[in-house]
Amino acid sequence: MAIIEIKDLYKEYEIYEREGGLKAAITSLFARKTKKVKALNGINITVNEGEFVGLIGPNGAGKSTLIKILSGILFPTSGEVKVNGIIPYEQREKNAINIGVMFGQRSNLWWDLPVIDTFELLKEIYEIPDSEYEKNVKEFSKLLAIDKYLKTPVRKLSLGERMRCEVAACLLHNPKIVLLDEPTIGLDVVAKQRIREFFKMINKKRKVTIILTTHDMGDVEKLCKRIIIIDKGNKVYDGELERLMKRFRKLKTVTFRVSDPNISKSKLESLFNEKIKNQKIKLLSKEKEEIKFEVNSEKVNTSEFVKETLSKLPVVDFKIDEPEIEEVIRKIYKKGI
Amino acid sequence: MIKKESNKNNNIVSQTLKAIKLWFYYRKMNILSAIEYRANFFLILLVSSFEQIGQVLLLVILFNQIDYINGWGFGEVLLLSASATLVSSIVLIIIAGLGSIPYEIRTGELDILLARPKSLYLQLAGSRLWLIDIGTLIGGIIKFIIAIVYISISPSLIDIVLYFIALISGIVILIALTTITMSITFFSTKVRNFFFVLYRSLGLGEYPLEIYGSGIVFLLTFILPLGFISYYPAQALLHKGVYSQFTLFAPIIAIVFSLIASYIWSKGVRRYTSTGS
Amino acid sequence: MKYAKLIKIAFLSDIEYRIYNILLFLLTLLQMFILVMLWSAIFSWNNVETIAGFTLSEMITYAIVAVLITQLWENDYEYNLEDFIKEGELTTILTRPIDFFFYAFSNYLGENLSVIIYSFIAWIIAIFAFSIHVPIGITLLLFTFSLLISFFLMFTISMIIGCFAFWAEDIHGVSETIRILILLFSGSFIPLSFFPEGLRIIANILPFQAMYSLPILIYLEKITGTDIFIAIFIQIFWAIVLYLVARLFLKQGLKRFTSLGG
Repeated sequence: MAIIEIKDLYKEYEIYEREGGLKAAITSLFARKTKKVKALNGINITVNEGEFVGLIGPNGAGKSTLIKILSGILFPTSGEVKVNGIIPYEQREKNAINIGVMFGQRSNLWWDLPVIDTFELLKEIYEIPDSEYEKNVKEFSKLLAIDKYLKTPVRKLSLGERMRCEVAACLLHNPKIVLLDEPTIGLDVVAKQRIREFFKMINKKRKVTIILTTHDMGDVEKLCKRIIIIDKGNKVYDGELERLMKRFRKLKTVTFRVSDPNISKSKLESLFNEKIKNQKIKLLSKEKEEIKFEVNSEKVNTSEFVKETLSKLPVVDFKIDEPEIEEVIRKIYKKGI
Repeated sequence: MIKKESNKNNNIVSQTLKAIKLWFYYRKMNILSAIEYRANFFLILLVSSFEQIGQVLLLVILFNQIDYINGWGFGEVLLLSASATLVSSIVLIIIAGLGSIPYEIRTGELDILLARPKSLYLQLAGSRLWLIDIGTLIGGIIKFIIAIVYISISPSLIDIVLYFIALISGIVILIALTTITMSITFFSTKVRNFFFVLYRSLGLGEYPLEIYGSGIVFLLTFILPLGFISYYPAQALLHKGVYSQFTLFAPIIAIVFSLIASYIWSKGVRRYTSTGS
Repeated sequence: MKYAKLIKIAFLSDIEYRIYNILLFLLTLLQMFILVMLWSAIFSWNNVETIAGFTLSEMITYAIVAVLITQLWENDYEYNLEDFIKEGELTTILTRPIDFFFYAFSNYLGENLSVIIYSFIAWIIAIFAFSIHVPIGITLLLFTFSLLISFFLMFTISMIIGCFAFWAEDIHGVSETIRILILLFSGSFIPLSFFPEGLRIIANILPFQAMYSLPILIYLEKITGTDIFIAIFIQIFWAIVLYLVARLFLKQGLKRFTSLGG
């Protein structure tokens, strides 16, 4: 059942441009140049209840804009958006009850008061019934290991401790949908792990739909089955992470170290002429003793190729690399799909 | 979990009651926060009484050399000053949080507030409380008592009621003006704190309006109704001169300006939510 | 020179806030207007030629020049200093080869440049709108010099108040208290000649008259001849004293700051 429906979503901004320096500053007092920026360029997305979707893309791609529109704090230029049947920007307060938001850099907690005080304020704001509130506080404190921090003023907590409290805070009112904008930014490995497990749990157990924006591929790998890649306001990929990886994993990098540093490139090209011609392999680089090939494992058997190379070249050592998610994403950012 | 909407929960009265309850809750948080910082209440009271004493002293020094400002003697001008203090300190106690709007926009905290199921205005207004305003309020009450004793007037019951109505209207008007001023921050890209800009122009109402020509008095009564912050409430008790009859306009002006303020505010929020940050 | 660059940067970033600056300018005109109206009403109603030795025209001039000087003072620079200290910018500045006092002063100057500009414009407007007195020749020069010292004095006081942030959680209390004292004893609203004997004596031993009363009286040519030099001497005296006090506070404050690790 579709819980989020986005149709033909467009968002345009007008920004002011100005050069630096004294003259430009004074000129700008009288007239300002504006530029139109397309943040979202016709986005179509449907998310079903209980899904865990990763939203990734380079900086400025439009991810935050999308999240803001879903949380009802930003109006689109055109298009149709429905979150749990409600148009978020038209019924902001009603929508807010169904969603929990976590904006990585910004805090939901009152800086100088103990964590529990903010929780109680949120209880008032979201009108959470007593029994539910108590249950959630107890359960979350245990799962996120924050019970000992509940009475500590937020300003005295470390980043990791604070983030765990933020996570608890955004779920206190049992939202159906959770929007996370870079929730693990700046955290150490252990903290990240804890938070990831928590999100996994509530997604599985409580069927909470989660949209996660992140630059951390570890988050994506461990949590999201489905990913959506946004670049320059366009949806570039929408589907299973596995499928994307398979597509890019077929290209392996094989690195050979040879004893003779003076093998020329042209010699290499002629040695492997047939394979290079048929795009089975590609010579990536040759630096002294190190030779790198890109091997399309769909077109040629990697181990066969390695055997062949061992017979043709004085190989001392070799290794086979599969692209990491990071690299795949980086490639997509650079060249698109 | 989405609660079943019941019609009972949605009418204006219960919404208002809920809003007031939430506002008090915020005040509790603010005070807790101040305690957390080990705010020295006595030091704050001291500083604010300093301020009040300073203001009174200036008036004393002035009236040491002159007898009247347009027929208003020392006690009467003191009453004017007391009314101004009462109104502005109560307003600050209610909505001091609005002054943090530029900061919230800059840090992006405003987005967090918007993502919550309560009115943005209420959340902002509640978010801050300067304890010194409580001290100022006390100072204002003391000034008021001194002024009344000095003038030794015996106001009728009607006058007293009128004074309170005028005072409350003044509070509403100042809240409206502050709201309008702070709404400007939603429209300009470069934002600084206009809060203080407003509060400095309050000086216009600090002296008997008679010092200005009738054109300005009209302006300060109907267009930029700063006159209702101190002058007209004081007039409820003093009935001096031809302008005093305008005191009766207080509630009307209050209602008109609240409507204007809420309109501009909603336009401002709309502007912010269509352009992001 | 690097301090000139700092001034320029502060100025450039300040111009961005154009609406704010325009509003402040209008507010200045407003304040001048109110005081002109007030004193005119007082003089005419009380039917006097002079009050405490001032004619109406002198009083109006006094009030207007006081408003202009107040513009430079109102920006509460000590809170900027508090921010530098509390939000860590100080740490960055300390790693650079600049002296913090003059860094802050350059910053202060840059931020106030637009204030100085619009105050100047307001002054010109006041000359034509309210026919205020204008000193000429040597007097004008001496007044300008006196004004500069006053400006520097204001900064050192802001610096002293700001330094409290090294020790206190919140400098509001200190700031408000000192500002009230300044309001009372500097002659910023009412000339010191209005004051009864006792308060007059207090005002004379405090540094605040050097900020308003002395420069304005020089402007009005109510202080003439050698008295002008005495007045300026008093100003310089306080400028030096407060500069040294500020330096001392700063040194102690920085010691504490750097020993606590920022």
